[in-house]
Amino acid sequence: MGKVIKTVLNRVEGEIQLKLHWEKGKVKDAFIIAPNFRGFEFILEGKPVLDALVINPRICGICGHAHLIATTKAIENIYENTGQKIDVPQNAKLIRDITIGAEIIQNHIRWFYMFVMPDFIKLEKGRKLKAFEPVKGIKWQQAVDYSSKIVKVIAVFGGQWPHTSYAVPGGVVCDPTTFEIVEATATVDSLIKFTEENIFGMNLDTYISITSEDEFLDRAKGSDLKEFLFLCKKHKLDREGKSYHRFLTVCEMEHVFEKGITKKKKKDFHVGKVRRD
Amino acid sequence: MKNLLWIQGLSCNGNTQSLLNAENPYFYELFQKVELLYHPSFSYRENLQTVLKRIDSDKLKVNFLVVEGAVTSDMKFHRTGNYTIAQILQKLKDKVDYIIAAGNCASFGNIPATLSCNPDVTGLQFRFTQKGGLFPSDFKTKSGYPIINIPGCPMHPAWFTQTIIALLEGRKIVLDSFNRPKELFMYLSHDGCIRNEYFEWKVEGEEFGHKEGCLFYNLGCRGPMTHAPCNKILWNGISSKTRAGMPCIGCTEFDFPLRRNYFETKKNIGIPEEVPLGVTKRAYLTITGVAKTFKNERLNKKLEETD
Repeated sequence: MGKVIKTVLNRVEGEIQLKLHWEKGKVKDAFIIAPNFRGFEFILEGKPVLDALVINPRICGICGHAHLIATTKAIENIYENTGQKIDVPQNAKLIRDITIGAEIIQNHIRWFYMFVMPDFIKLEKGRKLKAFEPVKGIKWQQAVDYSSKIVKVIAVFGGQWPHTSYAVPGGVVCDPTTFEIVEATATVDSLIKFTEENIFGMNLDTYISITSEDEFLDRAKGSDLKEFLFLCKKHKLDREGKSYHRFLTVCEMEHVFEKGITKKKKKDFHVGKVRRD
Repeated sequence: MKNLLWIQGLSCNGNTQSLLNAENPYFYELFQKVELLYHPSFSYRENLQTVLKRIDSDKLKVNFLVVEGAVTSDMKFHRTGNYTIAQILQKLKDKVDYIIAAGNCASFGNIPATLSCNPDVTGLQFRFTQKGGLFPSDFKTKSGYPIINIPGCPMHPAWFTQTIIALLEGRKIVLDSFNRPKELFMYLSHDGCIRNEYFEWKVEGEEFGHKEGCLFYNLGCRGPMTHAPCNKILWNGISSKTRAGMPCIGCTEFDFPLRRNYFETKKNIGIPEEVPLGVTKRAYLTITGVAKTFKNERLNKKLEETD
Protein backbone atom coordinates (compact mmCIF):
# COMPACT_ATOMS: atom_id res chain seq x y z
CA MET A 1 0.00 0.00 0.00
CA GLY A 2 1.16 3.53 -0.75
CA LYS A 3 1.39 6.54 1.47
CA VAL A 4 -1.52 7.54 3.71
CA ILE A 5 -1.91 11.22 4.48
CA LYS A 6 -4.34 12.66 6.98
CA THR A 7 -5.25 16.33 6.83
CA VAL A 8 -7.37 18.22 9.31
CA LEU A 9 -9.90 20.57 7.83
CA ASN A 10 -11.45 23.07 10.20
CA ARG A 11 -14.42 25.27 9.56
CA VAL A 12 -17.89 24.87 11.02
CA GLU A 13 -19.02 22.55 13.85
CA GLY A 14 -16.04 20.38 14.52
CA GLU A 15 -13.18 19.30 12.39
CA ILE A 16 -13.24 17.03 9.39
CA GLN A 17 -10.33 14.76 8.60
CA LEU A 18 -9.39 14.00 5.05
CA LYS A 19 -7.59 10.67 4.66
CA LEU A 20 -5.95 10.05 1.30
CA HIS A 21 -4.33 6.84 0.10
CA TRP A 22 -1.65 7.69 -2.44
CA GLU A 23 -0.21 5.23 -4.93
CA LYS A 24 2.28 6.10 -7.66
CA GLY A 25 1.58 9.79 -7.36
CA LYS A 26 -2.18 9.39 -7.61
CA VAL A 27 -4.94 9.31 -5.04
CA LYS A 28 -6.10 5.70 -4.89
CA ASP A 29 -8.81 6.15 -2.30
CA ALA A 30 -10.19 9.02 -0.27
CA PHE A 31 -12.05 9.12 3.04
CA ILE A 32 -13.77 12.00 4.71
CA ILE A 33 -13.97 11.41 8.45
CA ALA A 34 -16.14 13.46 10.77
CA PRO A 35 -14.96 12.43 14.24
CA ASN A 36 -17.61 14.39 16.16
CA PHE A 37 -20.98 12.85 16.84
CA ARG A 38 -23.87 14.56 18.60
CA GLY A 39 -26.68 12.18 17.52
CA PHE A 40 -29.66 14.47 16.96
CA GLU A 41 -31.54 11.62 15.31
CA PHE A 42 -31.38 9.69 18.59
CA ILE A 43 -31.97 12.74 20.77
CA LEU A 44 -35.27 13.39 18.99
CA GLU A 45 -36.61 9.89 19.64
CA GLY A 46 -39.66 9.89 21.90
CA LYS A 47 -39.85 13.69 22.12
CA PRO A 48 -43.09 15.63 21.50
CA VAL A 49 -43.14 16.49 17.81
CA LEU A 50 -43.17 20.29 18.24
CA ASP A 51 -39.98 20.12 20.32
CA ALA A 52 -38.15 19.39 17.07
CA LEU A 53 -38.70 23.08 16.27
CA VAL A 54 -36.42 23.93 19.19
CA ILE A 55 -33.93 21.07 18.88
CA ASN A 56 -33.33 20.84 15.12
CA PRO A 57 -32.13 24.40 14.38
CA ARG A 58 -29.33 23.67 16.85
CA ILE A 59 -27.87 21.11 14.46
CA CYS A 60 -26.01 23.97 12.79
CA GLY A 61 -25.01 27.41 13.95
CA ILE A 62 -24.53 28.95 10.52
CA CYS A 63 -27.60 27.52 8.78
CA GLY A 64 -29.91 26.70 11.70
CA HIS A 65 -32.75 28.65 10.14
CA ALA A 66 -32.81 26.27 7.16
CA HIS A 67 -33.20 23.42 9.66
CA LEU A 68 -36.10 25.26 11.31
CA ILE A 69 -37.97 25.82 8.05
CA ALA A 70 -37.34 22.22 6.93
CA THR A 71 -38.55 20.92 10.31
CA THR A 72 -41.68 23.06 10.17
CA LYS A 73 -42.51 21.78 6.70
CA ALA A 74 -41.80 18.17 7.73
CA ILE A 75 -44.19 18.48 10.68
CA GLU A 76 -46.81 20.03 8.40
CA ASN A 77 -46.38 17.00 6.12
CA ILE A 78 -46.91 14.67 9.08
CA TYR A 79 -50.20 16.38 9.92
CA GLU A 80 -51.26 16.27 6.27
CA ASN A 81 -50.40 12.59 5.97
CA THR A 82 -52.76 11.88 8.86
CA GLY A 83 -55.54 13.66 7.00
CA GLN A 84 -55.41 17.01 8.81
CA LYS A 85 -55.32 19.91 6.43
CA ILE A 86 -52.74 22.59 7.19
CA ASP A 87 -53.40 25.97 5.62
CA VAL A 88 -50.37 28.20 5.76
CA PRO A 89 -51.53 31.77 5.05
CA GLN A 90 -49.87 33.48 2.09
CA ASN A 91 -48.25 36.17 4.28
CA ALA A 92 -46.68 33.51 6.51
CA LYS A 93 -45.32 31.70 3.43
CA LEU A 94 -43.78 34.97 2.25
CA ILE A 95 -42.26 35.74 5.64
CA ARG A 96 -40.70 32.23 5.78
CA ASP A 97 -39.25 32.77 2.30
CA ILE A 98 -37.86 36.14 3.33
CA THR A 99 -36.16 34.88 6.49
CA ILE A 100 -34.69 31.79 4.83
CA GLY A 101 -33.50 34.07 2.00
CA ALA A 102 -31.80 36.33 4.54
CA GLU A 103 -29.95 33.37 6.04
CA ILE A 104 -28.83 32.21 2.58
CA ILE A 105 -27.40 35.68 1.88
CA GLN A 106 -25.57 35.57 5.22
CA ASN A 107 -24.26 32.08 4.32
CA HIS A 108 -22.95 33.26 0.96
CA ILE A 109 -21.11 36.20 2.46
CA ARG A 110 -19.63 34.30 5.41
CA TRP A 111 -18.59 31.30 3.32
CA PHE A 112 -17.09 33.37 0.54
CA TYR A 113 -15.16 35.88 2.62
CA MET A 114 -14.42 33.87 5.77
CA PHE A 115 -14.14 30.26 4.70
CA VAL A 116 -13.04 30.35 1.05
CA MET A 117 -11.01 33.48 0.29
CA PRO A 118 -8.54 33.17 3.22
CA ASP A 119 -7.32 29.85 1.78
CA PHE A 120 -6.15 31.65 -1.34
CA ILE A 121 -3.76 33.72 0.79
CA LYS A 122 -1.70 30.55 1.29
CA LEU A 123 -1.64 29.84 -2.44
CA GLU A 124 -0.85 33.44 -3.38
CA LYS A 125 2.47 34.01 -1.71
CA GLY A 126 3.68 36.73 -4.02
CA ARG A 127 0.40 38.52 -4.56
CA LYS A 128 -1.18 40.74 -2.00
CA LEU A 129 -4.52 39.50 -0.71
CA LYS A 130 -4.19 41.50 2.48
CA ALA A 131 -7.77 42.74 2.31
CA PHE A 132 -9.01 39.15 2.72
CA GLU A 133 -6.87 38.41 5.80
CA PRO A 134 -9.08 37.01 8.63
CA VAL A 135 -9.93 39.51 11.36
CA LYS A 136 -7.48 42.15 10.06
CA GLY A 137 -8.40 42.52 6.38
CA ILE A 138 -10.83 45.26 5.38
CA LYS A 139 -12.87 42.95 3.14
CA TRP A 140 -13.08 40.32 5.87
CA GLN A 141 -14.31 43.00 8.27
CA GLN A 142 -16.88 44.25 5.78
CA ALA A 143 -18.13 40.70 5.38
CA VAL A 144 -18.66 40.56 9.16
CA ASP A 145 -20.61 43.84 9.03
CA TYR A 146 -22.91 42.93 6.16
CA SER A 147 -23.46 39.26 7.00
CA SER A 148 -24.47 40.40 10.51
CA LYS A 149 -26.68 43.11 9.06
CA ILE A 150 -28.76 40.82 6.83
CA VAL A 151 -29.66 38.52 9.73
CA LYS A 152 -31.41 41.49 11.34
CA VAL A 153 -34.16 40.67 8.83
CA ILE A 154 -34.62 37.33 10.64
CA ALA A 155 -34.61 39.18 13.97
CA VAL A 156 -37.39 41.50 12.69
CA PHE A 157 -39.70 38.54 12.05
CA GLY A 158 -38.29 35.86 14.33
CA GLY A 159 -36.76 37.79 17.24
CA GLN A 160 -33.14 36.67 16.83
CA TRP A 161 -30.51 34.93 14.74
CA PRO A 162 -29.01 32.35 15.34
CA HIS A 163 -31.56 29.84 16.66
CA THR A 164 -35.08 31.21 16.63
CA SER A 165 -38.04 28.81 16.40
CA TYR A 166 -40.49 31.40 15.09
CA ALA A 167 -41.90 29.24 12.27
CA VAL A 168 -44.50 26.77 13.55
CA PRO A 169 -46.80 24.35 11.72
CA GLY A 170 -49.51 26.47 10.12
CA GLY A 171 -47.53 29.69 9.90
CA VAL A 172 -45.24 31.98 11.84
CA VAL A 173 -45.57 33.45 15.34
CA CYS A 174 -45.10 37.09 14.32
CA ASP A 175 -47.48 39.78 13.11
CA PRO A 176 -45.13 42.51 11.90
CA THR A 177 -46.07 46.17 11.69
CA THR A 178 -45.57 48.23 8.52
CA PHE A 179 -42.58 49.84 10.17
CA GLU A 180 -40.90 46.56 10.99
CA ILE A 181 -41.35 45.51 7.36
CA VAL A 182 -39.73 48.79 6.29
CA GLU A 183 -36.80 48.05 8.63
CA ALA A 184 -36.36 44.74 6.81
CA THR A 185 -36.58 46.23 3.30
CA ALA A 186 -34.08 48.96 4.19
CA THR A 187 -31.68 46.27 5.40
CA VAL A 188 -32.07 44.34 2.14
CA ASP A 189 -31.44 47.53 0.10
CA SER A 190 -28.23 48.11 1.98
CA LEU A 191 -27.13 44.52 1.23
CA ILE A 192 -27.89 44.94 -2.47
CA LYS A 193 -25.63 48.00 -2.55
CA PHE A 194 -22.86 46.08 -0.76
CA THR A 195 -23.18 43.20 -3.23
CA GLU A 196 -23.13 45.51 -6.26
CA GLU A 197 -20.09 47.42 -5.08
CA ASN A 198 -18.04 44.52 -3.73
CA ILE A 199 -19.12 41.20 -5.23
CA PHE A 200 -20.59 41.94 -8.68
CA GLY A 201 -18.64 45.09 -9.41
CA MET A 202 -21.65 46.43 -11.32
CA ASN A 203 -25.27 47.15 -10.56
CA LEU A 204 -27.74 44.32 -10.03
CA ASP A 205 -29.69 44.86 -13.27
CA THR A 206 -26.51 44.77 -15.32
CA TYR A 207 -25.35 41.65 -13.52
CA ILE A 208 -28.62 39.86 -14.23
CA SER A 209 -28.41 40.82 -17.91
CA ILE A 210 -24.87 39.42 -18.33
CA THR A 211 -24.84 36.53 -20.82
CA SER A 212 -21.27 35.28 -20.76
CA GLU A 213 -18.25 34.98 -18.52
CA ASP A 214 -16.21 37.18 -20.86
CA GLU A 215 -18.84 39.89 -20.73
CA PHE A 216 -18.84 39.68 -16.93
CA LEU A 217 -15.06 39.88 -16.70
CA ASP A 218 -15.05 42.77 -19.13
CA ARG A 219 -17.66 44.85 -17.33
CA ALA A 220 -16.96 44.08 -13.65
CA LYS A 221 -15.00 46.76 -11.81
CA GLY A 222 -13.58 46.10 -8.33
CA SER A 223 -15.42 42.79 -8.14
CA ASP A 224 -14.43 40.13 -5.59
CA LEU A 225 -16.22 37.54 -7.71
CA LYS A 226 -13.95 38.48 -10.62
CA GLU A 227 -10.94 38.16 -8.31
CA PHE A 228 -12.20 34.73 -7.21
CA LEU A 229 -12.63 33.52 -10.81
CA PHE A 230 -9.17 34.79 -11.64
CA LEU A 231 -7.64 32.93 -8.68
CA CYS A 232 -9.56 29.73 -9.47
CA LYS A 233 -8.26 29.67 -13.02
CA LYS A 234 -4.76 30.65 -12.04
CA HIS A 235 -4.55 27.71 -9.61
CA LYS A 236 -6.47 25.44 -11.99
CA LEU A 237 -9.26 24.90 -9.47
CA ASP A 238 -11.70 24.88 -12.37
CA ARG A 239 -10.06 21.65 -13.53
CA GLU A 240 -9.73 19.90 -10.16
CA GLY A 241 -12.28 17.63 -8.56
CA LYS A 242 -14.37 17.39 -11.69
CA SER A 243 -17.69 15.62 -11.29
CA TYR A 244 -19.77 13.42 -13.60
CA HIS A 245 -21.82 15.92 -15.55
CA ARG A 246 -25.05 15.15 -13.80
CA PHE A 247 -26.32 18.69 -13.64
CA LEU A 248 -29.21 20.72 -14.90
CA THR A 249 -27.89 24.12 -15.71
CA VAL A 250 -28.72 27.17 -17.75
CA CYS A 251 -25.17 28.35 -18.17
CA GLU A 252 -21.75 27.13 -19.12
CA MET A 253 -18.91 27.07 -16.70
CA GLU A 254 -15.75 26.17 -18.45
CA HIS A 255 -14.42 22.68 -17.61
CA VAL A 256 -16.85 22.23 -14.74
CA PHE A 257 -20.24 21.91 -16.35
CA GLU A 258 -21.86 22.56 -19.68
CA LYS A 259 -25.22 24.01 -20.53
CA GLY A 260 -28.03 21.46 -20.66
CA ILE A 261 -29.27 18.37 -18.93
CA THR A 262 -26.20 16.24 -18.69
CA LYS A 263 -27.23 13.04 -16.95
CA LYS A 264 -26.07 10.20 -19.18
CA LYS A 265 -27.33 11.59 -22.50
CA LYS A 266 -26.94 15.29 -23.15
CA LYS A 267 -30.13 17.15 -24.00
CA ASP A 268 -30.79 20.74 -24.87
CA PHE A 269 -32.06 23.04 -22.21
CA HIS A 270 -34.22 26.04 -23.04
CA VAL A 271 -34.25 28.67 -20.35
CA GLY A 272 -37.30 30.29 -21.95
CA LYS A 273 -39.39 27.25 -21.08
CA VAL A 274 -38.67 27.48 -17.36
CA ARG A 275 -41.73 28.47 -15.35
CA ARG A 276 -41.99 29.54 -11.77
CA ASP A 277 -45.11 28.46 -9.90
CA MET B 1 -1.26 42.26 24.53
CA LYS B 2 -3.25 39.53 26.27
CA ASN B 3 -4.29 36.60 24.11
CA LEU B 4 -7.21 34.24 23.58
CA LEU B 5 -7.42 30.66 22.38
CA TRP B 6 -10.76 29.30 21.13
CA ILE B 7 -11.39 25.56 21.04
CA GLN B 8 -14.48 23.54 20.23
CA GLY B 9 -16.03 20.37 21.57
CA LEU B 10 -19.41 19.01 20.49
CA SER B 11 -20.77 22.19 19.01
CA CYS B 12 -22.95 23.65 16.26
CA ASN B 13 -20.65 26.69 15.93
CA GLY B 14 -23.64 28.86 16.86
CA ASN B 15 -21.76 30.83 19.52
CA THR B 16 -19.05 31.70 17.02
CA GLN B 17 -21.71 32.75 14.53
CA SER B 18 -23.48 34.77 17.22
CA LEU B 19 -20.21 36.44 18.23
CA LEU B 20 -19.67 37.54 14.61
CA ASN B 21 -22.85 39.62 15.04
CA ALA B 22 -21.29 41.64 17.87
CA GLU B 23 -21.73 45.38 17.40
CA ASN B 24 -19.99 47.22 20.18
CA PRO B 25 -17.24 46.24 19.88
CA TYR B 26 -17.40 44.43 16.55
CA PHE B 27 -15.81 40.97 16.40
CA TYR B 28 -12.66 42.34 14.73
CA GLU B 29 -12.47 45.25 17.19
CA LEU B 30 -12.49 42.82 20.12
CA PHE B 31 -9.51 41.08 18.56
CA GLN B 32 -7.63 44.34 18.34
CA LYS B 33 -7.82 44.45 22.14
CA VAL B 34 -6.92 40.79 22.63
CA GLU B 35 -4.82 38.64 20.29
CA LEU B 36 -6.68 35.68 18.75
CA LEU B 37 -4.18 32.81 18.93
CA TYR B 38 -6.34 30.25 17.19
CA HIS B 39 -9.96 29.76 16.22
CA PRO B 40 -11.04 26.63 14.31
CA SER B 41 -13.24 28.61 11.92
CA PHE B 42 -10.88 31.47 11.10
CA SER B 43 -7.30 30.32 11.49
CA TYR B 44 -5.77 29.19 8.23
CA ARG B 45 -2.07 29.45 9.04
CA GLU B 46 -1.93 28.31 12.63
CA ASN B 47 -2.60 24.74 13.55
CA LEU B 48 -4.09 23.77 16.91
CA GLN B 49 -1.60 20.96 17.54
CA THR B 50 1.33 23.37 17.14
CA VAL B 51 -0.28 25.93 19.44
CA LEU B 52 -0.89 23.19 22.03
CA LYS B 53 2.72 22.03 21.83
CA ARG B 54 3.97 25.56 22.44
CA ILE B 55 1.71 25.89 25.47
CA ASP B 56 2.75 22.47 26.75
CA SER B 57 6.43 23.39 26.58
CA ASP B 58 5.71 26.76 28.26
CA LYS B 59 6.84 28.71 25.20
CA LEU B 60 3.40 30.28 24.97
CA LYS B 61 1.32 31.66 27.80
CA VAL B 62 -2.43 31.80 27.31
CA ASN B 63 -4.65 34.32 29.07
CA PHE B 64 -8.16 33.41 27.91
CA LEU B 65 -9.17 29.90 26.95
CA VAL B 66 -12.64 29.90 25.38
CA VAL B 67 -14.48 26.61 25.01
CA GLU B 68 -17.46 26.29 22.70
CA GLY B 69 -19.40 23.03 22.79
CA ALA B 70 -20.01 20.20 25.23
CA VAL B 71 -17.09 18.00 26.26
CA THR B 72 -16.54 14.26 26.35
CA SER B 73 -13.56 12.01 26.97
CA ASP B 74 -14.95 9.31 24.70
CA MET B 75 -12.87 9.11 21.51
CA LYS B 76 -15.83 7.65 19.63
CA PHE B 77 -17.77 10.90 20.00
CA HIS B 78 -15.16 13.62 19.69
CA ARG B 79 -11.63 14.03 18.41
CA THR B 80 -9.38 16.94 17.59
CA GLY B 81 -6.33 15.48 15.90
CA ASN B 82 -5.46 12.57 18.18
CA TYR B 83 -6.97 14.06 21.32
CA THR B 84 -10.42 14.41 22.80
CA ILE B 85 -11.53 17.83 23.96
CA ALA B 86 -11.35 16.48 27.53
CA GLN B 87 -7.66 15.56 27.12
CA ILE B 88 -6.87 18.99 25.68
CA LEU B 89 -8.64 20.71 28.56
CA GLN B 90 -6.84 18.61 31.17
CA LYS B 91 -3.53 19.70 29.62
CA LEU B 92 -4.49 23.38 29.55
CA LYS B 93 -6.52 23.90 32.71
CA ASP B 94 -3.66 24.91 35.00
CA LYS B 95 -1.79 26.91 32.38
CA VAL B 96 -4.35 29.58 31.49
CA ASP B 97 -5.61 32.59 33.44
CA TYR B 98 -9.29 32.27 32.60
CA ILE B 99 -11.51 29.60 31.10
CA ILE B 100 -14.72 30.89 29.53
CA ALA B 101 -17.54 28.50 28.62
CA ALA B 102 -19.10 30.14 25.57
CA GLY B 103 -22.73 29.07 25.26
CA ASN B 104 -24.98 26.56 26.96
CA CYS B 105 -23.21 23.41 25.68
CA ALA B 106 -19.87 24.26 27.31
CA SER B 107 -21.63 25.65 30.39
CA PHE B 108 -24.13 22.91 31.20
CA GLY B 109 -23.96 20.19 28.52
CA ASN B 110 -27.10 21.21 26.62
CA ILE B 111 -28.43 19.13 23.71
CA PRO B 112 -25.30 16.94 23.19
CA ALA B 113 -25.49 15.86 26.85
CA THR B 114 -29.00 14.47 26.35
CA LEU B 115 -27.70 11.71 24.06
CA SER B 116 -28.45 8.69 26.23
CA CYS B 117 -25.85 6.35 24.68
CA ASN B 118 -22.98 8.58 25.85
CA PRO B 119 -23.57 9.63 29.47
CA ASP B 120 -20.05 11.07 29.52
CA VAL B 121 -21.05 14.27 27.63
CA THR B 122 -21.02 17.22 30.02
CA GLY B 123 -20.45 20.94 30.50
CA LEU B 124 -17.11 22.11 31.85
CA GLN B 125 -18.05 22.52 35.49
CA PHE B 126 -21.73 21.57 35.50
CA ARG B 127 -23.82 18.84 34.00
CA PHE B 128 -27.31 20.31 33.90
CA THR B 129 -28.34 20.82 37.56
CA GLN B 130 -25.46 18.78 38.86
CA LYS B 131 -22.36 20.60 40.12
CA GLY B 132 -19.13 19.25 38.73
CA GLY B 133 -18.74 18.39 35.08
CA LEU B 134 -15.40 17.61 33.47
CA PHE B 135 -13.87 19.68 36.30
CA PRO B 136 -14.94 19.35 39.95
CA SER B 137 -17.06 22.11 41.44
CA ASP B 138 -14.15 23.53 43.48
CA PHE B 139 -11.83 23.90 40.45
CA LYS B 140 -10.40 27.36 39.89
CA THR B 141 -8.14 28.72 37.17
CA LYS B 142 -4.94 30.68 37.90
CA SER B 143 -6.96 33.89 38.12
CA GLY B 144 -8.97 32.51 41.03
CA TYR B 145 -12.20 32.33 39.01
CA PRO B 146 -13.97 29.04 38.34
CA ILE B 147 -15.05 28.39 34.73
CA ILE B 148 -16.94 31.55 33.78
CA ASN B 149 -20.20 30.45 32.15
CA ILE B 150 -21.76 32.61 29.43
CA PRO B 151 -24.75 30.39 28.68
CA GLY B 152 -27.50 30.82 26.12
CA CYS B 153 -28.22 28.75 23.05
CA PRO B 154 -26.55 30.67 21.55
CA MET B 155 -24.98 33.24 23.87
CA HIS B 156 -25.60 36.87 23.00
CA PRO B 157 -22.40 38.39 21.56
CA ALA B 158 -22.46 41.36 23.95
CA TRP B 159 -22.53 39.07 27.00
CA PHE B 160 -19.26 37.57 25.78
CA THR B 161 -17.47 40.72 24.58
CA GLN B 162 -18.39 42.65 27.73
CA THR B 163 -17.14 39.84 29.97
CA ILE B 164 -13.80 39.65 28.14
CA ILE B 165 -13.34 43.43 28.13
CA ALA B 166 -14.24 43.75 31.81
CA LEU B 167 -11.57 41.15 32.63
CA LEU B 168 -9.05 42.82 30.30
CA GLU B 169 -9.65 46.08 32.15
CA GLY B 170 -8.97 44.32 35.42
CA ARG B 171 -12.54 44.64 36.71
CA LYS B 172 -13.91 42.14 39.15
CA ILE B 173 -16.83 40.05 37.93
CA VAL B 174 -19.34 38.69 40.41
CA LEU B 175 -20.72 35.28 39.47
CA ASP B 176 -24.06 33.74 40.45
CA SER B 177 -24.44 30.21 41.82
CA PHE B 178 -24.18 28.79 38.29
CA ASN B 179 -21.01 30.80 37.62
CA ARG B 180 -22.74 33.21 35.24
CA PRO B 181 -21.81 36.92 35.45
CA LYS B 182 -24.35 38.15 38.00
CA GLU B 183 -24.83 41.61 36.52
CA LEU B 184 -25.93 40.07 33.23
CA PHE B 185 -27.95 37.16 34.54
CA MET B 186 -29.67 38.87 37.47
CA TYR B 187 -32.30 39.99 34.95
CA LEU B 188 -35.04 37.69 33.77
CA SER B 189 -35.82 37.47 30.06
CA HIS B 190 -39.27 38.71 31.10
CA ASP B 191 -37.76 42.08 32.17
CA GLY B 192 -38.33 44.61 29.40
CA CYS B 193 -40.62 42.40 27.33
CA ILE B 194 -43.05 44.55 25.34
CA ARG B 195 -45.85 42.14 26.32
CA ASN B 196 -45.42 42.89 30.02
CA GLU B 197 -48.68 44.84 30.32
CA TYR B 198 -50.56 41.74 29.16
CA PHE B 199 -48.75 39.76 31.84
CA GLU B 200 -49.60 42.37 34.49
CA TRP B 201 -53.31 42.42 33.65
CA LYS B 202 -53.43 38.68 32.87
CA VAL B 203 -54.50 38.98 29.28
CA GLU B 204 -53.34 35.62 28.01
CA GLY B 205 -52.33 34.78 24.48
CA GLU B 206 -54.35 31.81 23.21
CA GLU B 207 -52.54 31.20 19.93
CA PHE B 208 -49.46 32.37 18.01
CA GLY B 209 -49.40 35.09 15.38
CA HIS B 210 -50.61 38.07 17.41
CA LYS B 211 -48.93 41.18 18.75
CA GLU B 212 -51.27 41.04 21.73
CA GLY B 213 -51.31 38.74 24.74
CA CYS B 214 -48.82 37.32 27.20
CA LEU B 215 -47.20 34.02 26.18
CA PHE B 216 -46.69 32.79 29.76
CA TYR B 217 -50.02 31.26 30.74
CA ASN B 218 -50.79 29.10 27.69
CA LEU B 219 -47.94 29.21 25.21
CA GLY B 220 -45.03 27.94 27.28
CA CYS B 221 -43.08 31.18 27.79
CA ARG B 222 -40.27 30.77 30.36
CA GLY B 223 -39.62 34.53 30.56
CA PRO B 224 -40.55 34.99 34.24
CA MET B 225 -38.37 32.01 35.29
CA THR B 226 -35.31 32.46 33.06
CA HIS B 227 -32.18 34.38 34.01
CA ALA B 228 -31.20 36.27 30.83
CA PRO B 229 -31.10 39.94 29.79
CA CYS B 230 -32.65 39.16 26.37
CA ASN B 231 -35.12 42.05 26.59
CA LYS B 232 -32.53 44.45 27.99
CA ILE B 233 -29.66 43.72 25.60
CA LEU B 234 -31.63 43.09 22.42
CA TRP B 235 -30.78 40.40 19.89
CA ASN B 236 -29.12 41.53 16.67
CA GLY B 237 -29.49 44.96 18.20
CA ILE B 238 -33.22 45.12 17.49
CA SER B 239 -35.48 42.44 18.93
CA SER B 240 -36.01 39.34 21.05
CA LYS B 241 -37.97 36.12 20.73
CA THR B 242 -40.80 37.27 22.99
CA ARG B 243 -41.03 40.61 21.19
CA ALA B 244 -41.49 38.75 17.90
CA GLY B 245 -44.10 36.47 19.48
CA MET B 246 -42.11 33.36 20.28
CA PRO B 247 -42.10 32.03 23.85
CA CYS B 248 -38.83 32.12 25.79
CA ILE B 249 -37.54 28.54 25.93
CA GLY B 250 -35.19 29.13 28.87
CA CYS B 251 -31.99 28.44 26.89
CA THR B 252 -29.67 30.24 29.32
CA GLU B 253 -30.64 27.91 32.16
CA PHE B 254 -28.79 24.87 33.44
CA ASP B 255 -31.81 22.61 32.86
CA PHE B 256 -32.24 23.47 29.17
CA PRO B 257 -33.22 21.31 27.24
CA LEU B 258 -34.41 18.77 29.80
CA ARG B 259 -37.98 20.10 29.65
CA ARG B 260 -40.52 19.07 27.02
CA ASN B 261 -43.34 20.84 25.18
CA TYR B 262 -41.79 24.26 24.69
CA PHE B 263 -44.91 25.75 23.15
CA GLU B 264 -47.34 24.82 25.90
CA THR B 265 -47.54 25.79 29.58
CA LYS B 266 -47.79 22.83 31.92
CA LYS B 267 -50.76 23.30 34.25
CA ASN B 268 -52.61 21.46 37.00
CA ILE B 269 -56.31 22.34 37.24
CA GLY B 270 -55.67 25.59 35.43
CA ILE B 271 -52.70 26.62 37.58
CA PRO B 272 -49.25 26.85 35.93
CA GLU B 273 -46.92 24.25 37.39
CA GLU B 274 -44.21 26.89 37.67
CA VAL B 275 -45.01 30.48 38.65
CA PRO B 276 -42.80 33.56 38.20
CA LEU B 277 -39.59 33.50 40.28
CA GLY B 278 -39.91 35.04 43.72
CA VAL B 279 -43.69 34.59 43.91
CA THR B 280 -45.63 31.87 45.74
CA LYS B 281 -48.39 30.01 43.92
CA ARG B 282 -50.91 31.54 46.32
CA ALA B 283 -49.66 35.08 45.62
CA TYR B 284 -49.71 34.42 41.87
CA LEU B 285 -53.30 33.15 42.02
CA THR B 286 -54.46 36.09 44.15
CA ILE B 287 -52.93 38.72 41.89
CA THR B 288 -54.29 36.91 38.82
CA GLY B 289 -57.80 36.92 40.25
CA VAL B 290 -57.61 40.61 41.12
CA ALA B 291 -56.09 41.63 37.77
CA LYS B 292 -58.76 39.76 35.84
CA THR B 293 -61.55 41.48 37.82
CA PHE B 294 -60.35 44.89 36.69
CA LYS B 295 -60.68 44.18 33.03
CA ASN B 296 -58.20 46.40 31.20
CA GLU B 297 -60.16 47.50 28.14
CA ARG B 298 -57.18 48.64 26.13
CA LEU B 299 -55.49 45.27 26.42
CA ASN B 300 -58.56 43.39 25.27
CA LYS B 301 -58.54 45.05 21.84
CA LYS B 302 -56.28 44.62 18.84
CA LEU B 303 -53.47 47.16 19.27
CA GLU B 304 -54.46 48.89 16.03
CA GLU B 305 -57.93 49.49 17.45
CA THR B 306 -56.91 50.98 20.80
CA ASP B 307 -57.43 54.65 21.70
